[in-house]
Amino acid sequence: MPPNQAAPLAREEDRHGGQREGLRDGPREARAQRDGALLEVWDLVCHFKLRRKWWKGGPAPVVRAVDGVSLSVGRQETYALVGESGCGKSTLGRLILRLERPTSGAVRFEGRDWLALRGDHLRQARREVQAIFQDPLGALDPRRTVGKSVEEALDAHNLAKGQAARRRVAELLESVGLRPALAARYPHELSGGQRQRVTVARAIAGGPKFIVADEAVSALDVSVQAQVINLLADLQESLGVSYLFISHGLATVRHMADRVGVMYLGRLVEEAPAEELFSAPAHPYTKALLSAAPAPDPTTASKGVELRGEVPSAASLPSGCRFRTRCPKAKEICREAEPVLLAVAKGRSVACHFPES
Amino acid sequence: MSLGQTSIAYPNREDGALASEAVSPLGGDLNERSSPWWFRRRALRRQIFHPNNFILGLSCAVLAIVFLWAAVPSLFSPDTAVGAYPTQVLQPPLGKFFLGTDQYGRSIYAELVYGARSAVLIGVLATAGSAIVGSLMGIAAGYIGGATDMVIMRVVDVLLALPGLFLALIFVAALPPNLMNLIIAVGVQGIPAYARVLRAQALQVRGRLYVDAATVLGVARWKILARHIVPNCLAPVLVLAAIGFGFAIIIGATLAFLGLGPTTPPLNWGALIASGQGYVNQDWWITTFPGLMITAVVIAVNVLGDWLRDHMEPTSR
Repeated sequence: MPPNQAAPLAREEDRHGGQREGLRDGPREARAQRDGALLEVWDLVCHFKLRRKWWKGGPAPVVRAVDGVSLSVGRQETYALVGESGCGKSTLGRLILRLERPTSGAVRFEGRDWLALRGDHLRQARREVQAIFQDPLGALDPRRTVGKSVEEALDAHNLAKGQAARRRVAELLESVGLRPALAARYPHELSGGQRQRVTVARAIAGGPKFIVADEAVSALDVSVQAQVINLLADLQESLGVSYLFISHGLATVRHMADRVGVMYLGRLVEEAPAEELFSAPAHPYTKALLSAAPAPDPTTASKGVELRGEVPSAASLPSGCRFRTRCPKAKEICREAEPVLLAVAKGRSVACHFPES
Repeated sequence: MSLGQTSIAYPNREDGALASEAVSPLGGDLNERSSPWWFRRRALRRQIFHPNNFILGLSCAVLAIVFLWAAVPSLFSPDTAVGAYPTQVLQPPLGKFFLGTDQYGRSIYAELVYGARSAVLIGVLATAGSAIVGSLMGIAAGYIGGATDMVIMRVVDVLLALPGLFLALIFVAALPPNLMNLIIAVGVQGIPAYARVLRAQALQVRGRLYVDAATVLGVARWKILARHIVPNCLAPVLVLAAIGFGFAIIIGATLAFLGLGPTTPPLNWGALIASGQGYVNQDWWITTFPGLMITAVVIAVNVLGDWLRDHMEPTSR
């Protein structure tokens, strides 16, 4: 039972207890789940302060990019985060990668306090947590050959030097399905799919346990997407890595993910095993998201909910439930109280006053 | 001009084989376009005599000559050093002396040849100095940020508050008059431009995704700086340096003209103009030819700088 499924009061106690004594308190099944968890995120918050306009009074506006997200990812598990653009899923990924500083909250990786690592300790620990970015051309230095870029990963942790490093680079390129001769090429000489394979080779060079794949296939052609997805799945099998798979492509998520978290305006609104989420979405937002995805066969496409209006700004959230401005089921209570993420079935939780059952 | 050159870009195949490696069954390169010889010659002639290319070529030639003069002046001048012929003072050009003689009977042409070394030394050393110091300051300010940025940029602001020539004047006036100090003075006034541009460049490069990617890989900060930030910041330096080179020569000549340059050889074109000042009504050639020389070099350098700016593409290598 992940931390966010407990009742709010219990969760609060649980969290403080956990921080004090290394997550050893709490109900028995929760402990069992946590011992298996590789990465745990506890109530993570990341607010960006905007500059106050001098002609407007009041406090400086705050963008709540990530506003209290808790989740856990097990070993060799693929956890997918889905949601519209601007809902904070990429920021969450960057927080876990320590590229952004969180406002509050905790992240534990293999039981260690991941956010407390500093300087050289952090640099060395990064070997375990790697990233694949959306734009592979931007993620590779245009002035270095791709071989050098992959070699940099080996050099950073003193894994291999000189001739041995070049041999290892060739092996890595082969393991992601590229000819080793491509090591001498510059990024702009490769195709999009080849570039993304290079960044995958670089990510696995240090033998990571956890990879944040931030829209890793969104920029690629559909046929190449499938190849890269299959590559990622194969690597999970052979290396035993876990993925945090951030995506807005629901088809790839369905294919890849073990569990799915749906984010809306900085919060998780629903969390469920992938198959259950796709077959029976409980949150109206999830339902709308699924019905917005094009169906392979238009004649059988379900008549789903259609979302009206725009996503509210993360700098001025609506009162109560964040989704109520666009929700077809919104009632008076949605304006007054923000629903918490509650377990509705085994492994499933949803933050809604009127969940589908 | 792209006459007679058409290359067809094939998409790269997923297996990594580039289409440009394709060869025809007859053994010829498919990408090479065959055209009749007369067509090619005309294209070549058009390229050479196209106004842009012609000016560029002329600029390169001027610079090549000046650099050769600076390197081995004795090859280009009839005498091994600038000698005075007291019986031949103030001879007009195209007589016994190609560009005439000055009031001491020295050949103007020889003076120009021997004066090239000073101009080139000032141009090269002052530009290199300000480029290196200014770039390091700018990159440090942009990459480290915070208090370092603040301190460095305020120093640059102080330098920038004074006009370049005035700044150089202060240094020259305070230091003993020799070539090295002239170079330092000219170099210092060039620093702010590099610092400003490179700071902006470093700020931009710092936010690129490959810097984040290197951070995630666990690459040490100084390695990221040396491998990714600095190489990707340097593109504008060459262009700035090309333009700064001409400016350095002008400032060096101006200071020498004002009598603040070195008092011992090598000769300086600016000092030459100053010495001919009193004769400019009658014997115009003493001041005109050194002035034309400075103008020609500066224009040539600027043409080259413009060409560099147009042809620097960050993605293609």
